[in-house]
Amino acid sequence: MKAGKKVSVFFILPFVLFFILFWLVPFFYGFYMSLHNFSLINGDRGFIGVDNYIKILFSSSMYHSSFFLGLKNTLIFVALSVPPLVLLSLALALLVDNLPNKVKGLFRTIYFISYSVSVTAVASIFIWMLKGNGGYLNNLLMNLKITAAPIPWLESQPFVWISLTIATVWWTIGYNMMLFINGLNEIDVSIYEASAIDGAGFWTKFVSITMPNIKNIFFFVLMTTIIASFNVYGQPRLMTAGGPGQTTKPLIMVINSAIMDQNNMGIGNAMAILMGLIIMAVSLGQYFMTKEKEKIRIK
Amino acid sequence: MKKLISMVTALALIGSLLTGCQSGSSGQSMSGSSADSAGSAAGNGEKVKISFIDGFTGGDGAYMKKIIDGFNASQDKYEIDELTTADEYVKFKSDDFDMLVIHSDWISTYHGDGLLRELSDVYKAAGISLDDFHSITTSYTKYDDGIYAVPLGLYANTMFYNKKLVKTAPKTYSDLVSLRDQLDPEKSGIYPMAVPLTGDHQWLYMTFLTQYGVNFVKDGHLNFDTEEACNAFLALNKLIYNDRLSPANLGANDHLNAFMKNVKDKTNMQAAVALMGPWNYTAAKEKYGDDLGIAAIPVLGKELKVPAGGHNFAVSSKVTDQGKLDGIAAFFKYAYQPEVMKIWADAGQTPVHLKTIEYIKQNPDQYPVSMVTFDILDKCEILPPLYNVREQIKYANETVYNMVIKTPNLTKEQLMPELKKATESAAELAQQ
Repeated sequence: MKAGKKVSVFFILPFVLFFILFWLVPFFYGFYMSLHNFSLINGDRGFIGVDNYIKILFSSSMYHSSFFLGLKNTLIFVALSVPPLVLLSLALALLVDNLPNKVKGLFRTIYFISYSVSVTAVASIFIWMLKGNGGYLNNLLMNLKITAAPIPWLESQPFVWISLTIATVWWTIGYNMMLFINGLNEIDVSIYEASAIDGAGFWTKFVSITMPNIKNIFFFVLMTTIIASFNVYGQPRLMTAGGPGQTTKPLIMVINSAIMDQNNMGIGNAMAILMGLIIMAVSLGQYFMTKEKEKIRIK
Repeated sequence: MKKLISMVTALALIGSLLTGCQSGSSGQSMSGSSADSAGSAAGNGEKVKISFIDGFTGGDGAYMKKIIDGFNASQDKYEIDELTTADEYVKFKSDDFDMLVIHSDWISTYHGDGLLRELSDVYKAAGISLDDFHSITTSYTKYDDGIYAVPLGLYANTMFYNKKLVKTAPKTYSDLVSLRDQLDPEKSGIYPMAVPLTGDHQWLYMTFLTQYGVNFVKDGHLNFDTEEACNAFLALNKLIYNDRLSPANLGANDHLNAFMKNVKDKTNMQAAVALMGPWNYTAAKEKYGDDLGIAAIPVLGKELKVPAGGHNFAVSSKVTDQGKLDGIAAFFKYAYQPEVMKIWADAGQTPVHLKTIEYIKQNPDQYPVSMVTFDILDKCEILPPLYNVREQIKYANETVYNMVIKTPNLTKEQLMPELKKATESAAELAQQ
């Protein structure tokens, strides 16, 4: 082995070590626990094969209903939050990209700054604004005579989903926007100039130049947003505590409850493995679907 | 290159195995090592350290610290190391603590999991007995195989009222109806009370269940799948949608928020009365001063019953060292003196130590919340000592209660399937 290669191996060594210790080992240990009757307090109470998985997927157990309730709620959140987080962030990026250079930085900062706020602060702000009884928004709407009675933004469905989506979009949209802005900056300006001479309008430029050039970033943003939305926890935990009536309790909260409240490490880990598989399946499905579309477009 | 990768992998595996071994045997080894250190500490003339964890992160934390500091200052043999954290129970399960403060409705589960030590010998060494405490404490500290906790205090659902709006404290459901007629909520925006989405809500529906005399325990688990339970829940629904004693669609902690707010152009609702935990006393007193009234909750069902909870000291089952056990006994001997235990009443809590109760009763004006609680101690209802009871009740807390307070004119046919699910879930959790 050459000296340069040896040095580079030493550079990646810490990562490999930490990856093994803090990802690979916990992952396999988690899988091991999912095949055992494993209690947080009493430890391993024996191998039970795939019983935990059967209990979650096919039985009449409360774990079956809580898993599918959590999954349903998570999918609702993914469906509600991913489109605005991807499309609005792209729209914002295009908007900022078309601003005069002098104010670009300012607006980039304004849109991105919410991302630096902790989820606890975000939840507090939105609870204060959206509270049904005496909340800022309801006071405003009622004082302006727009509504006659308070709207239960955080108390009843479907308003609670709307509130959670708005809070999430406000909080995280800046990150996606920055990724799109970087992608847009990479596009050669001369292509736009040439298309303008040919008489291309905004839409033609967007479809024929912008999108093909930021395609990879778009897929990356889409994937990471789907994965992040699947892992939602902080906003429902702090804003609604999974309510009203467990309607916003996501899968992560169900898993946390199985492990920390019910001490059932076996079931909790089996749920986590299943959730990982579902995220992988959705991500792969998304990847192949978009790849298929790409092939059709090339033909 | 291959050699290097195999070396890294081997190192990682050895590291993880070592970590695994340590965590796998942490309980035993820590207990053993702390026992050894306690023994050697005693031998060296050093103080025996007792690790203690509690969850008093609010205002009451300072008062518990005062008790602990007082004990430490009085001792040259033992020292209590206190950790106060909101994650008390998680930390107690994952780390090693000798002593903890445990809620009354957790004792049965911790006892079932073998996490607590039987304390008859410690009681004896401390010179205390269960007879020194109010009789209600026996229901959650004593099991077939012994005593597993030392009662510290009790907190009960308490009625706070705004004296400017309520002349005499409502004692019955019809008093609240009369108050509604007097307040005219439709016009004023002021309701007799406020039913929250969450926050003391378990106590609210438990008030209905217990006051209607519902037996909600069967075969070691909670059982809500009965006509009686259904009727009690429907009475709560009627309170909101038929009798309009509370506005509908309120949010988290709105029983307190609505009580603390003044109505403004009807953009928010106000409540004249709040049924809530005594820990809200300080905030309410700050807002209302002398206009704050405190009384026992009214009879909303057939007879007065008051949902309550309690704090207790308990000792980890891992503690085997006699030096530590002697130290814990010395602490109880110190803490259960009326002059010391009254510190807990200073925190707004209600001690259940009989001699302390007598001591406090000499200064009734100083302890208004405790005085109200003392009067209803015999009527208090603590969650039954069932395994996993806090988990068993979750479905009722989250789903059933939400349905009850959110569905206008709820019917038995709509509610019974949910009560059945709540019972099935409780039965499964009881068997784990």
